[in-house]
Amino acid sequence: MKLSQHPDPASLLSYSSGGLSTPFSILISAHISLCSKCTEKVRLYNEVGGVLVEDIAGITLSQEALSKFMDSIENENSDELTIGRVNTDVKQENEMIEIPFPLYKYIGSSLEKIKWKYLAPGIKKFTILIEGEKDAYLSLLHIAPGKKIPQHTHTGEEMTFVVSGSFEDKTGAYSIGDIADHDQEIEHQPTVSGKQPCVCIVATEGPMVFKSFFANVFQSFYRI
Amino acid sequence: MIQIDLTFVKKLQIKKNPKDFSLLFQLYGPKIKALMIRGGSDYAFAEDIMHDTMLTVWKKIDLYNPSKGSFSSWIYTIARNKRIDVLRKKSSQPYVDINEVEIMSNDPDSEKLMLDSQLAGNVKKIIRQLPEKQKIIIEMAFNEDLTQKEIAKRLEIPIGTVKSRMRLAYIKLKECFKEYQ
Ligand SMILES: [Zn+2]
Repeated sequence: MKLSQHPDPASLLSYSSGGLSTPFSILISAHISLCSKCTEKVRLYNEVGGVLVEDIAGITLSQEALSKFMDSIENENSDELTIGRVNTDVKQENEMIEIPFPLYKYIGSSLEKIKWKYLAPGIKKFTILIEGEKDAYLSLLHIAPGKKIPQHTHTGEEMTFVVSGSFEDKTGAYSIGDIADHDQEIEHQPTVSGKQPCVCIVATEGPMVFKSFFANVFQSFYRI
Repeated sequence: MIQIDLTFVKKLQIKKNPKDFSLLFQLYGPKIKALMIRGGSDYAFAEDIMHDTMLTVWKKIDLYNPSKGSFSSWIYTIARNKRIDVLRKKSSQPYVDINEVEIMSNDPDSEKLMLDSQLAGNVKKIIRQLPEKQKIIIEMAFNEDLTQKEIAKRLEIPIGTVKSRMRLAYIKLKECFKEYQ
């Protein structure tokens, strides 16, 4: 897949070092599952992690550490050998939109079962709950063609991943698989482009609060 | 000191011999423990995570693919995932193993991703030559498990500066690939 908008290399570094909160790392995972360029970058960063592990001065293990370990590998149950393997036969259920597999766990393999909540005319939202995550949030948005993604505030960083359709703003055009990863200073209001609705996932630090909720509603009414 | 080279790893992949594996444990165990302690764990907890990491290495050793990266980087990613899962007590596992991503990817570009120990050597060289300001940030991220925000706070610099130093380090690291290809 040819993708044109990629995460900031700094975000990929934090992804590799484990320094991203779960919502942001989910979006990066979804992107790298489609993007060989960013896979390459993450690999490079993982090599950095490997080099630093090689260089680190080890700390002596407790006396029983080795024997405890040898006991566990000898008692190891071979059933567990398959853990962590990707289930490659996930059905796509004859639908148009292909969900990247890192998102299955959070939104399922189809958008049809999403319980959308009405937000404004042409705009639906679904909040993805992430267990154990207090500071960062993930929201799925479904926006009709020609609509603007509602203006919102949040306390820090924001990252958007396009699941289907496309949008554009002054920073560029974004389509399936692309990531918008901007510094918080950038003021932008993306508009859905093309004839298809745009479904995107937005990760934010702090909950998404829609700034001009009523303004958006009225704008939408009057524009029609 | 024993030498863990590719031949040694391949031998283990063919036959999982606990005795050979104990050598691997003795080399990487103390390093992973040190990594966890730098990340804020206490000694006992660090050793638990190390134990868990090495157990996963034992279980999954046949999944290690040398063309996808060095053995150390593979062990590093396993340790990192354990740290995220256990140390931060997160129930979800968002980190996608690159080796698993490859299973799904049909992108012909992915052939370009071939790596080997030569790349690890180049990375090592570049890391050592990084300007101190960039190197500190890289070490804080990877060894101390800090987020960009935490690094900014620790160094008393804006988060934008942390990001731009990370980007500068990336520009240097990218040269590894150029040299390699
Ligand atoms: Zn990319």
